[in-house]
Amino acid sequence: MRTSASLGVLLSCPLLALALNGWLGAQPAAAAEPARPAVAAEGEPRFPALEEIDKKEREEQARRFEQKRLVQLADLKRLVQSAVSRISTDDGVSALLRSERTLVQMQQEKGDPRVTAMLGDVRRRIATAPPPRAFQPLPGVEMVLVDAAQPAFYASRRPVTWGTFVAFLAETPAERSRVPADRVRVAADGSVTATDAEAPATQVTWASANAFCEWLGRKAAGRYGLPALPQAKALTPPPAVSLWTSTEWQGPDEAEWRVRSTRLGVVMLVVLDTARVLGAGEAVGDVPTAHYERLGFAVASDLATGVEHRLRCLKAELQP
Amino acid sequence: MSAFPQISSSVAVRGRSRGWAALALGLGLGVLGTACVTPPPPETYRGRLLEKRVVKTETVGRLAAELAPAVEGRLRLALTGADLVTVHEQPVYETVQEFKAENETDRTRIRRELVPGKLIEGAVEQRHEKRAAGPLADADVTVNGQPFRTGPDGLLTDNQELILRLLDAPKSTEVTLTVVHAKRGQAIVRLARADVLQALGVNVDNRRPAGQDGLQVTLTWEPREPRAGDGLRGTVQVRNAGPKFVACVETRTVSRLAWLDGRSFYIGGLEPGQARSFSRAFAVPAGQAPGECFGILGVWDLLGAVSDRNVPISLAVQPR
Repeated sequence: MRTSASLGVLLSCPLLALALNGWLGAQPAAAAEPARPAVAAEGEPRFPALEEIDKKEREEQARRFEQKRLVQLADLKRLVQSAVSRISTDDGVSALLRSERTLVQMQQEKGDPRVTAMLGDVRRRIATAPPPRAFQPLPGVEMVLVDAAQPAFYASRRPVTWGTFVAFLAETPAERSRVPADRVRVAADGSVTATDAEAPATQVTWASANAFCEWLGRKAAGRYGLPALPQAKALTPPPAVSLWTSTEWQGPDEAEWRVRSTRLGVVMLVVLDTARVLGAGEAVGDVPTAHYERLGFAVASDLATGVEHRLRCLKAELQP
Repeated sequence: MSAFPQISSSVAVRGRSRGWAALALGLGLGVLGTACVTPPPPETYRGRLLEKRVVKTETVGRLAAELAPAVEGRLRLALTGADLVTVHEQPVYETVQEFKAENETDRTRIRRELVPGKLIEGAVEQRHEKRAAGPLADADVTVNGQPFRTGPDGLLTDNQELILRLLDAPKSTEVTLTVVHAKRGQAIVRLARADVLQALGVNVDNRRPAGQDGLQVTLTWEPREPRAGDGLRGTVQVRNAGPKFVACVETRTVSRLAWLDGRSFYIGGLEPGQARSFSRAFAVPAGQAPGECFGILGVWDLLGAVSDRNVPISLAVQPR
């Protein structure tokens, strides 16, 4: 079997086949037959006319494919140009994402340096697209771009409300005991509702506020936290309630601060006291376990979180 | 030629007083002759010291203070009086006459005789004596400007925690107390932290190995709900429920409220199973707004911060 298979392979080469015919001494008359097509590798006879037709068809297909690709690339170029002109909007970025998806499909269909180059360009434009002016990681939490401060960041449009906070409490039973009983109602089935959903979530400790931000980060796949003091100060309009910040409060006495932070491991946090809850200045330090009637919190995130959130949402919309 | 008449004139003047000069010369010679003939009286010398006559005594009251062992965690100072007496004394000697021949140098030939009834008084001298005056009982004193009263045993109890408050400052390794008594003046006492801990009976053993796993910390308040203007005592109890010796345990309050902040509770070393309490006095200011006051009791030992044993402080201050 192996020998005959090897012979079959060798016969696929006409010259070698002739030589072998002579050497083996088999069918000497056959070598005299003129214009007989060479035997194909599989042993099938070749039909040059048909092959010619096939070749022409392939060339026609390639020509049509090229024409189609040229049209596609031209369309995509126009689409990208249009998208770039409105890059700051979700529509613009969405158009770029559509272009990217199409280019990836084209690339998978047939590799092409022009497609590769355009894909790289589109991806670069997507990556450098301006961050969205606002996004909503969770119902009730609308993050708006604050670019008055540098570096720019996102902050919740208003302090987190009880209506939003109860969603966190519903999934975090351990936190329920740390909020005022008159602000939330826990039903027998474990569902949690707010007595006043629109009211800012106040009387919340720094630890609970921080836990909410971490929960939001897991929920919305992003980096969320309490705003630092400069960020909280940059919020417009100033919040009606005082806000917890992520900034550590050192106080006037450095030695006292060292004892607190190094020896005791206690960190005091700055409260932006716009509502004058603490009555000792605009920015006051307090222990993270403190909670007051008019002390709430806002949520902040970096630009990348907003950009990633938009891309995630737009890509989800593009899914068939 | 012109000088001669002047000389003559001078001689003429002398000539007029010649009688008086002769008289004076005669008298002088007479005295000299008498002196040469009469032997000089024998010289007198100081003999034995007969007594020291007290001319004047001046007494100045002095104050001495030292740290006494604490009772129920309250530091005490032992105040004692000491008089500084200055005695002005005049030595009185017998008088001795010396008889000897002229130019006699042989001391054996010199005769000395006591002059009866004649004394020689020496120069007044000062002698200082320090006389213990015993405990300064029932006396009003000030310590660093704050009024205190000693007990019948001369002990001053630091109810106001003046010494502990000075040691609460992170940088202070020793405190200086100025004790002033109206009559006895002032005494300055310097106390190192180690002295104070020793007086408090704190186990300052810092031997290793030390473990902090079994530390149990509780904080109680008396009264539990103070009113503004009230004093209250906070008591920290630390129990070592672990298997290892725990060294140098100390706790300290952290709060944004000055009256609640920065009080150290010295627990010291604890053998396995051992518990120790330490109390501190606090005073709610009269101006403290009613409501919850927050803080954290931080814990550390020889190995560093034991943050997971920190105790949240929440004191509900009632209206006056």
